Amino acid sequence: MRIVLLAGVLVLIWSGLWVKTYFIQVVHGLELSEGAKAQYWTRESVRGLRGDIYSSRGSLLAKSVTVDSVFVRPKEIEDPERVSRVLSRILSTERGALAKRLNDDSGFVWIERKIGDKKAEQIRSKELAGVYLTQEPRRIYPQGRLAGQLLGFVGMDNRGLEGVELSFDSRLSGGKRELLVQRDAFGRVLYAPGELTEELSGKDVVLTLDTRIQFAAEKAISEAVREYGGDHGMFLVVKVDNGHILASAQYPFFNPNCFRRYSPRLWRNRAALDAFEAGSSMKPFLVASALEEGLCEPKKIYYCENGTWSFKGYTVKDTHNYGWLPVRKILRYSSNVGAAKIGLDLGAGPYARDLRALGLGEETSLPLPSENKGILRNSMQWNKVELASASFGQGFSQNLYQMGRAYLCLANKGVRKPLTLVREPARDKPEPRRVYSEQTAQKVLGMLESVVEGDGTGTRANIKGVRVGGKTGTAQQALASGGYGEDYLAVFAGLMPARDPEYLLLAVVDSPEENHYGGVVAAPAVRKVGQTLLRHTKAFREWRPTLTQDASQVSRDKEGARSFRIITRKSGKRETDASRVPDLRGMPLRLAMELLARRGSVPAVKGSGVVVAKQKPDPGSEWGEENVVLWLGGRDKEG
Amino acid sequence: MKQDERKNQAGKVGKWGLIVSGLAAFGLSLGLVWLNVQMVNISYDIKQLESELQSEKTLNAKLEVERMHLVSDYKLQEMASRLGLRPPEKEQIRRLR
Repeated sequence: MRIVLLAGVLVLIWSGLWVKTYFIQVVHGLELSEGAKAQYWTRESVRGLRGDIYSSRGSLLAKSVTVDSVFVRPKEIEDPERVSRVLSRILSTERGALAKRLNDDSGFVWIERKIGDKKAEQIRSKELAGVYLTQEPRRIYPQGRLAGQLLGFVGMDNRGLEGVELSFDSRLSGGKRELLVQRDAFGRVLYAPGELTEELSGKDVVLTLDTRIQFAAEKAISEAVREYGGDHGMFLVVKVDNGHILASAQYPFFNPNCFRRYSPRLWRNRAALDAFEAGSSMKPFLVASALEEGLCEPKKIYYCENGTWSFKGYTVKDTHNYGWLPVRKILRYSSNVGAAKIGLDLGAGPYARDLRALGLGEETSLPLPSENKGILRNSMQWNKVELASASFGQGFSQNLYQMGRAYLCLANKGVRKPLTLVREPARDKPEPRRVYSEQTAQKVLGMLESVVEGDGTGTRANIKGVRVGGKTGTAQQALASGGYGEDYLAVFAGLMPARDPEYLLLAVVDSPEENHYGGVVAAPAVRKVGQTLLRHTKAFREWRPTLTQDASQVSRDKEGARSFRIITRKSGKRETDASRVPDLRGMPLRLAMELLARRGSVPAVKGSGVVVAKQKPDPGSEWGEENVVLWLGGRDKEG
Repeated sequence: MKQDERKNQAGKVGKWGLIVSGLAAFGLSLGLVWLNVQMVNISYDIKQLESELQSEKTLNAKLEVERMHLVSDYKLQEMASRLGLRPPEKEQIRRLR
């Protein structure tokens, strides 16, 4: 009986279990299965980091790194007093405002986004209930204000808002993917995105900028603006053979790391956004057009009206009282009267046609947002007075890049080439096309060389030992209400070397007060950057003899200017015995230093010159503890 | 008689088959559980290693940024002026050739 009872109970329990199983598996099976899935699986979005920006030499200009952001869940905070005290101390924020946010009704409140590692670690170590750290990408510009306006910046959501960051936003932005991932009973996700993050990362952008030249340009233009009390300044350096922009500087500076601290006025890349009348610095294009049309030759003379010419009720003035001047001197002395007369001879049609062919009034296609394409009216609308003023660069405007592209055409012997700012991703370039004949361009380049020599207007751009060409510009600035005001724009366009340019340098200073002449205000900035270019570029390396050559002779032309290349004389191999002091007498100092340096000896050098006249210890003697002294003789021919 | 023996033998074989199948099913179930546990453990390990790798990469990126900042022209200029360094005067330059 007991057995039957026990069996009955077991059958009942067993049946109950089967019924329960039936309900779980069959009746509520689908619903519970979905519930389990919701517990064990979750959606997680994986986002790749934004791509980097590099200079042409591999210097890092912008990079995204992961940093911490602080948020709180107010309902989980146990001791609001302590939390506000600790957070305000670590984050250096006002405690009252912070306490108010901690008492917010919402379940999630940001306290501070994208904080530094040190602060994050301090907060983490405090283990405050209800205070959390989450990771977010932060854009960092390690070079600080270098090329700030050109690079632009990104917003809190990591989208480009200005400059290259905006232009290449789609390339730089990292991708995003939503994944279904498994998690454990504690809610910990078991999936690690690993390589997927790399896969989703944005692509890098490589610019043509050279940070050393960019720095030199920023330094030079900031000094020019500060010295002459200008409002702002711009500087552009272009490599002539390929149109690569090596520097695009602007002052006042802007640091994209903390863009909110700056006025939006300083965010603007003026080189692309501001169109200006460049004044006399556009005269070379007038002369080139006149030469191209066969209207004049460099020696053809014009009467410059002793500096003041009344024409159709308007007065054209020069800075000096010039009488008859040949065309080359009109450019050299920057005579407005002479230029106006050349322009009137040339006519509006050919002049405007050539300006348009140079790319004025047309965007440069550089990947920069909202480029100002300037104003170049239809030549049919120009009257005689407008043609006269256009002849000395007033009445039409262009941005700095357009001006650079026009000069690049002259520097490339009359062939128009595009400017390039980005090396990677490479873009299709338009075919180069000829605007001026090579002869015309060569003649103009020759005239521009004379501007920087002797009594030219641009002598402050002269660099000893290098032929520099250039043109000054002192432009009156147009008023928004019409007409011209009292403010000027000081401009200097430099070409280096003058006859066969390798580098183009443009400096612009807006509204200088102490002095407004381009030859005084802007030309020295071009000289400074030119000197840096010589120090850092191939041109200068070619200028120096190599260590395997024991003597050099610098070639000089008629005017005594030193060219880049040197004539070298190779010497026979010298017998040397490492255990004894070598005979350094008669040896160029550079080679003597090199030999001693290999032995680990740094000599004291006395006297002037470049050739070792006397030495101590004597040649052939045993090496001792005695310091090596070299006495120099022979004149330094380079002075 | 022979038929009974055959039935008994078949019954024994069936019983053993059932036991072996049951044991196999039990063993396979344990194996499945073990595999799942292993999978979860490996997932934790991978997750841990991935986190470490990510931290190292992040640190590397931050150090790269810091290095580029320290060797930037503006920083070097600032340090140079703090240390009293400046470009040499003309008479201080000796050209080596």
